[in-house]
Amino acid sequence: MTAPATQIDQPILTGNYEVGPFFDEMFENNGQPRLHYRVLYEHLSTLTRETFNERRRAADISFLYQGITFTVYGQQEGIERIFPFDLIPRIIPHAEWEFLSRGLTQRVMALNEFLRDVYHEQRIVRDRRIPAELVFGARHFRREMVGVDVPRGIYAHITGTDLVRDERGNYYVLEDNMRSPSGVSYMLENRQAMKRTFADLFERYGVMPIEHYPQELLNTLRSVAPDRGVEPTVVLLTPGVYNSAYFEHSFLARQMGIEIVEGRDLVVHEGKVYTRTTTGLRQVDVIYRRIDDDFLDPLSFRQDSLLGAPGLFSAYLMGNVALANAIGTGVADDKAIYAYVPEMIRYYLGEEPILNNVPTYLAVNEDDRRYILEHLDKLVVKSVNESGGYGMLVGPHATREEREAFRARILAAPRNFIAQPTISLSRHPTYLNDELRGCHVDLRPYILYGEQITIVPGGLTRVALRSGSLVVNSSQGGGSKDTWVLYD
Amino acid sequence: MRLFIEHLTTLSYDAPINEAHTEVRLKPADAGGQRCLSFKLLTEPVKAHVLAYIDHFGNDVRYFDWLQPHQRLSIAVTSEVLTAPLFDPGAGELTPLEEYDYCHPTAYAPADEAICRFAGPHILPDDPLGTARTLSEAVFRSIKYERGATDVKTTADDVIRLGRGVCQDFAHLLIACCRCQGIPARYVSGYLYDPKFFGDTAATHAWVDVFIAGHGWISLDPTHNCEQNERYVRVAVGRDYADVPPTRGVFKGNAKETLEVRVVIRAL
Amino acid sequence: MLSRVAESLYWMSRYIERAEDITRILTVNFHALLDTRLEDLKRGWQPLIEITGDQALFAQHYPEYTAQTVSEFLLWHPANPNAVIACITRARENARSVREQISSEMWEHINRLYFLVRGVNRAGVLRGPHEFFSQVRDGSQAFQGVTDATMPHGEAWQFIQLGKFLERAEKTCRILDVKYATLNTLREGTPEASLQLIAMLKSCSAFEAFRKESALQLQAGPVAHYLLLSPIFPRAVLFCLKRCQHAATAISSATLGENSRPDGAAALSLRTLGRTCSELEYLDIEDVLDARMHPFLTHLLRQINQIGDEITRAYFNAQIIQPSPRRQQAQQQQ
Repeated sequence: MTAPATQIDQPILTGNYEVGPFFDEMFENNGQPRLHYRVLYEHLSTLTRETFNERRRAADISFLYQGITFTVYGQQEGIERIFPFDLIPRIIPHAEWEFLSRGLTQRVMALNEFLRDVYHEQRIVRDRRIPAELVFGARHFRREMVGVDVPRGIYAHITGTDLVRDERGNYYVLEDNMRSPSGVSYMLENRQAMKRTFADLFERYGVMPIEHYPQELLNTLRSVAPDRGVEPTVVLLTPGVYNSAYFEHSFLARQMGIEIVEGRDLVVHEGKVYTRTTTGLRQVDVIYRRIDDDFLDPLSFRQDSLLGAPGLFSAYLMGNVALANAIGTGVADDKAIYAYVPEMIRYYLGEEPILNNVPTYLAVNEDDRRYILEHLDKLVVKSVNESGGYGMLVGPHATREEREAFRARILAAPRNFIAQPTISLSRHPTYLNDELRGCHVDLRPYILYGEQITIVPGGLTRVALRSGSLVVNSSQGGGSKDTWVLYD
Repeated sequence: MRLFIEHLTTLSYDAPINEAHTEVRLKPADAGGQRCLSFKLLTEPVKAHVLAYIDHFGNDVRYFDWLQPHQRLSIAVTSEVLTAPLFDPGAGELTPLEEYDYCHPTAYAPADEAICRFAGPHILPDDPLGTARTLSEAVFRSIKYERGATDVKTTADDVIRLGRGVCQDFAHLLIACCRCQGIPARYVSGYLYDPKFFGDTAATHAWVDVFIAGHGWISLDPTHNCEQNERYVRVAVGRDYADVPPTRGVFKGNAKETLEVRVVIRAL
Repeated sequence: MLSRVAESLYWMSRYIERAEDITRILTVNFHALLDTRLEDLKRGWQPLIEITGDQALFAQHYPEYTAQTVSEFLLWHPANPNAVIACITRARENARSVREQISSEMWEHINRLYFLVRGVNRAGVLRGPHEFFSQVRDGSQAFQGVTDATMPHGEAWQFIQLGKFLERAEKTCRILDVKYATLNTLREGTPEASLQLIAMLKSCSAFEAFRKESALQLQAGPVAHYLLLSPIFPRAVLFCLKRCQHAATAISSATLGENSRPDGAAALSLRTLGRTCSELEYLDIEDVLDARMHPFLTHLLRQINQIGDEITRAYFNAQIIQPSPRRQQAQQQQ
């Protein structure tokens, strides 16, 4: 849809923007821009649609030609789409970021302690602070890891934690992605695109850099390498070019200057892992794996896996190769375990949680279950083992039939479901159909845990777009924004 | 009792395969009063470099690979073991994970209606030890020992339906019955020295440990309706067969595989 | 370098070259047939399918050889694995799987070419193909140019060279083979024969270059000599094979010494390359003219295929990756 020709020279930000009954990241309830958004506000008030559209088109085409795409399946051939990118940045004041950063650090430390504990003494279970059933019955709990010492005791080298804000602007942790969180390449590419498109704005704001993320990631990976007296060889293990996140795998490998390998490039011999090269076998020290535990080794895990390398687990057990993340981290991103993270923080760190959890009801607990079943029309019900919005019931928007179907599923397997109150996510002005509209956003910062915990300022802001970008529509209706954390 | 065990596994293929990785759980355990005096594993025709680790059940695992194309692999294991005159139940208690694992159904030992119906009449209220023993005897009486009626994939519910099976099936059925009564039970893989089994009839054996609070582990053999004695050699324990197969492996290639196992046990 | 990466670079390069070669052959035919009598039109399109060797596949989908059916088949028919669009798609898939090995410029060029062929108005191309053809040709040549200009000329680049020149040598052989068959039915010196020779040269982008060698007559002998044996024309078979030899030598000297490939396949591929080059260098063109051309080219194509196979065995994951079956397990049954 294009704007009538008469409006093409109008500024994109007009008086028509509606804040609505939500927390708007840019505007106060009275319609005034928040302090840290003033400069952007002034800029947008002078930017015409024509200019803006031109810049947007240039950014889209550059994404397409650079192959910054993801693959959508379901049709005969995979269709490639660019991940829709919105040019209006999300801005976080320094103090707010400091708070988030402290909260995230605390959370990842506690989760890592939890992982070390459940794979060793299991104190938290013995002390009955978390039910054994939940931990050992979690689909991603790996009993093979019990008693295994991982390098530096670190399991969660890379965590992507999803944060949301409610209608009053309070931050909540929605989930901790501890298997192989994706999206960080979009964070980095978004920044590049913004610098090309709005260099002038960067000059007027002091934006903290994020470009060092790949180097920090590489440092993290190298910090867990077994010591064999040589420079460690780090590789990125991908399921392959047909994986929807392949662009990211390739991007990160390139940025870190490491080799990207598939399972068939690896061979395990006498407890050591090698890559097959044109000159023979070359030993590998650290594997940044972007495939799930199940597929790592057909000898020890799923036998039909072609993505991993047979014998990899034994090499890992013998300490001859390090994996990031460690095997078994999935138990910590189980949505039922999530409910206990505040408890973990108190138990392991003796501190009160800095960041809030969303109140969570576990269907496995009888009282909670009754509450869930009585309030299905008000709650969001989630399957504990699935991510990406699959296996979810959004009560208020669901039909009667959908709710009844979920009732049956919950009763059949209560361990598999949790429920949370619906949160009206905060909104952010986003360019849609030639004007700015409020769209819901979340935030995924990436937390690295090597010699110490490192979080590059910001993260990936995801935005729920209702209509797509210039080039193609996204299938999922999700897009992203650059996230600016300001200097003090 | 001092026993000598020879366990020969031969894998042959009708076309060359490569990148074979093999895990072996065949070393007699140092547990329950038993001691392993010697253990040797040799591969033929090429001597593989064998690595060892202890799995999370405490079992000794030997692991080796053979990358070059081949059509035959044999694994010769010889061991000498001093068995326990009486199985030592161990003191202590279960770890939280053991408590969970040995009480929960598995693929081989599911908790379905048929199992509960089978176990129902044999329950002695407030007497888990008595219940376990009665169940063991019930399995012994209800299932007919018969080779060839079942295979390595047979599950406990199949066994009830068939009414026939071998020690692996007896063990899985008893485990399933105990667990549905809340009695922790685990699968034991090993050998039974019995002079009447020799030549083709000698094989590996399987039975069941149950955990009784206050007693520790009690080791029951539902195939022979007795408790473990000095003729039993323990090798590995787990939730069911899938945790303790004597050999496990993968390879690359498109070939038909033939597996041959020969076991010889002699008293010294 | 990872064997899989080397393999992908090699195939990326071969597919791009293949797409360009097919496009050029189509272009030339469209031009040449403008001057052809109506009854010869059908005969004029069939050889194109022979060049790619896909006659059987073509017959399954089309009843006759026309400009439209042949173009459709060669450009984008989904059943044709060697269609231009399939080649460019696969070249890009290969490039994507080694994205971190190639330069950003290469990736951008191959992407642009990919989106060009995917997004083109197909009906429009069939009505007036020339612009599209030159876009594909330019895209491929720009890609090859950017490759040489932005990538270190190390091992990775050598595998790209190997792929490009082996593919090109093969295509030149096939063009010669097919066009020569037509030529043998015509009397030398007739306008039809001359037109065929011109088309043959143009299919290899060799017309202008050939013309500049003023001593050469536009006759079957000199044309075949030029396309087979020129040491300086970049699409002549000998030139291409020499480049392959150069690349293969560079690769093997980098990998030799520590090379753990026990079967010596690297040495084998070098030997076959060397032997084929010498055979060409000492060839008397008179010995292979007329009816002898086809058997000779068949032999040459077999050599080229063998070189490809030997390179595969020497440097790539030669073994077919099979699923890992789990071994059988013994029942515990005493």
